[in-house]
Amino acid sequence: MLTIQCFQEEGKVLIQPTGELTIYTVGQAKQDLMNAFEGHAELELDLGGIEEIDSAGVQLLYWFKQLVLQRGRPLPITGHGAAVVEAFGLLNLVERFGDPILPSSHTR
Amino acid sequence: MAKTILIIDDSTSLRQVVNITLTNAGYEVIEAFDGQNALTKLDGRKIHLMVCDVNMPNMDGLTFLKMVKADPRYKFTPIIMLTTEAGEEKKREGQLSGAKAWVVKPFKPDQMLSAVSKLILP
Amino acid sequence: MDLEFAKQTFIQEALELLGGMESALLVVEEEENRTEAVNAIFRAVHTIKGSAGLFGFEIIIRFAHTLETALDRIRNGQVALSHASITHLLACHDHLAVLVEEISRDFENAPDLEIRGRALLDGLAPLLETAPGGGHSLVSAQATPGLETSHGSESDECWHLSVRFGPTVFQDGFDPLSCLRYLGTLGTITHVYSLFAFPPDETFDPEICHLGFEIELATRASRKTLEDVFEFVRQDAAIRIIPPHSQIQEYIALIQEAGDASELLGGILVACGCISRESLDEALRLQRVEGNVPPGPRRIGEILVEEQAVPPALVVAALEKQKRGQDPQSTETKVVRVQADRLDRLVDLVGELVIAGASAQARAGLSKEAGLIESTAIINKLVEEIRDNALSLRMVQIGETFSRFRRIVRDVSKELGKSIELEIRGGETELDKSMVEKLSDPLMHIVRNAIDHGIEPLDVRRARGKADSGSLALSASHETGSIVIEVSDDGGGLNRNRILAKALERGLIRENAVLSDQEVWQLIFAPGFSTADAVTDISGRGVGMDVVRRNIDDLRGTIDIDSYEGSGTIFRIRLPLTLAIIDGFRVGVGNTSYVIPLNLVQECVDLNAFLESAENHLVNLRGEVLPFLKLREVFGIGGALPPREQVVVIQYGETRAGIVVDRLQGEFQTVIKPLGELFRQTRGVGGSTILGSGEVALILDIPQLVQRVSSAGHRPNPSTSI
Repeated sequence: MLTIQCFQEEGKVLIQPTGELTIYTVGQAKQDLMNAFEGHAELELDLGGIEEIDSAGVQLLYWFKQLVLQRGRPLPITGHGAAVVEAFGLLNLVERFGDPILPSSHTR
Repeated sequence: MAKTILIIDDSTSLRQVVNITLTNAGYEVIEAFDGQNALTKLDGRKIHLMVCDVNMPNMDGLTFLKMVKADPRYKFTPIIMLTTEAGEEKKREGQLSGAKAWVVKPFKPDQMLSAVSKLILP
Repeated sequence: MDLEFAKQTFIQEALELLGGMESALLVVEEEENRTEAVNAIFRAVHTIKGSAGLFGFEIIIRFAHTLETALDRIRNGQVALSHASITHLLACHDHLAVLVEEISRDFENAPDLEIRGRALLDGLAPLLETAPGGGHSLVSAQATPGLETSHGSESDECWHLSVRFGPTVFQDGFDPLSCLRYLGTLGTITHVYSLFAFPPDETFDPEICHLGFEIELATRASRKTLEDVFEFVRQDAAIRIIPPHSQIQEYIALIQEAGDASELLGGILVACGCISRESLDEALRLQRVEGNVPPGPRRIGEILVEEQAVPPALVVAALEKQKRGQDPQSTETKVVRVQADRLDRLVDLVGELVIAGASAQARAGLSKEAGLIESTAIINKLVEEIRDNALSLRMVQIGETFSRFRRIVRDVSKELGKSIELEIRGGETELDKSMVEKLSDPLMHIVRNAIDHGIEPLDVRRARGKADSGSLALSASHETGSIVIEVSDDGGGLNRNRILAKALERGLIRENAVLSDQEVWQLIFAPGFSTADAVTDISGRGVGMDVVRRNIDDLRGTIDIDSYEGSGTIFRIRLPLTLAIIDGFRVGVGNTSYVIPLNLVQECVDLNAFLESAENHLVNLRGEVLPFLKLREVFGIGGALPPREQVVVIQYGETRAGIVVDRLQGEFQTVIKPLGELFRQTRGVGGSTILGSGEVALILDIPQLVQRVSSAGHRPNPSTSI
């Protein structure tokens, strides 16, 4: 299961997916991310609620980051949990995403 | 959290040995004795991998495979099919239905463990 | 469970299969359609071979393998099954049975078995004749498939692996991350570069795999081992494995194959340390100058490997020997199948034993002989253990019964054009086998009713804003002293007004009667009661719920209903843990003894000390006001009141209540005897038992009494309750 919530926060939109980002949920997740992308100027993606992620999930995140950057907008990613850190590490993507590993906004 | 594996085979002793091997390696194992019985285990719980014999009474492995692939909750779950070297035709049929991992019977416990590890680690 | 246990299972299973095989061989000649019998014969050998492989019973595998090949040919109609070959197959069957029975023998030193086996296999030649390469040569191919026993090198060396996964890899259930994790168990991944070949726009399909890896792995593993990492994705992936110390050309070839992406890949390889920047530049320059057309896309399934590594040395033999060392005289732990009626007889006898034990202990107590008292105490403790063991033999999981409903729910809902999902919880809950059997019918009625009348048709559901597909749940769990089984649906709930109207019409209630919801719901259990507007095949013929109630009553259980208009109904069945024996608490009123199931008893207190209202039958238990009833009044017992009456506080389900008695006589174990016809109509009594002294004691039907207490508590006039 995956739910994606969006919060308006100081002029930007915080996207918080919760649950598993896997082959079972990437289809729906792509839609939700696109909706958030089309509606707002500035985005932040908080992965603190991701409990499980697979290659399909990482692929989607990487694609989304590229897409947003390409349109000249930043996409800071925060709240890397254990599952995300492990997957990014194995795939050697931490540097390529370029986001510092920060605690989740869930706990802010 | 331990990864859950569903083993489906009509041989009780085979299930037991596979169960012991995988449990000792740190997996959680559920058993089913044929396809029909296996369907009742697909009750929404998380299953990370299935190991399924082709040749079984009541509901054979290929029919079960097709039903799994039609179930949105489990269609992307990896399945290792057990076959014999004589079962090339079944294998082709199964591959068309999306089963890409095949292990030939008879196999040793270690071989099963290494096949499983390639798909998921505990 | 351990391997020794599994081995015993194997023996038992193999002998059963062989039994089936023998019967099939004996009838196959007469059968008009032989397919089924031939399949059974084939499957027996096939299954034995498969399981024997796990235990490494090589002699069985070898024999079964050739036999299976022959049977497969018969099955496929490649050879006919003659009378002579049946006779020969029977001999093969016998030999296989001997092999299975003598499994604990040291097979390697069993030339007699080996010779006999070979002779029998030779006799199969006519069946195998046209088999390519002859049947026997297959044997050696079997022994060592994919055994990963060899290492390619003495020390860690750096391999380069280049992988492009096919588009369907995710959907087939593979996670390329797993490949990396598994490689991590074979050595050290010194570098990974992940490539994403997805379109950088909205056309990206997230379920399609666009992933590839360039991996540097320091490992001692052999080439074969590394290849096998990808054995399940091989078909749908392009994989190139470059061994350590490879010529620079290897990498150049890799880069050239990358076509448009060659610059990128070149950069990655430089980053990985595979080649130097200079060599790369040189290669790319050459490629441009010579107009080298990169070769077309690599064929799928192809693994390009430079054969430099030494072929793996096989150390199988040594390993096999090691394994065989662990085959001592096997400890016998066999699985035995027992007929159910024998088990029932055993439980009956244990019941008698419990009574006799109680009697002996009572007499020993009277004799005041310390030695005797001690002996009987020990015997009784053992009897208790025997009782628990005997009863546990009859316990089965309810899951099997539950899962039968999947089919029923599917069929019935299809018939009615409804979409319904069935959820099952607590299938592992155990209960007495005889109870499971009697439970199946009432559950069936309730489930059918829920599908037919509970869950609304699609248009109604949509109008009510519910999900299109209805949900139905079966669950089982343990609660203090009982098992609770629930059938719940998210349908329309029971219609209070319609039930009341119907009940009035049938004369079950008086006009203007004031009834609680619970009382209204109980009305549907009245004989011949049905509120369905239309009578369907599934249910609604007006029979059913009264039968359900009677079945549950017979099991000494209760059934109650929670219903919420518009949102669903829950049927809750409470059953005792077992039917035959209970731990009882004995109480006395007048000259008679009564027994209360011990697990329902919470505490005992003095009536006078806690009395709140004698008139309304209430006690105050440390602030909690509980209703009580006097057994004296319930059973119309006269005689002198004792100086101090006692209250036994019981809890059944969610209700707590007191039962007032003359004397407390303590705990004891008792066997439930069915009541004679005379007592069957007596409300409040569920059974009888014989005390050690030979007296008869009545076992109180607490559920019924509790119902009486709580309904009396609601209203001052209890006479309308039943």
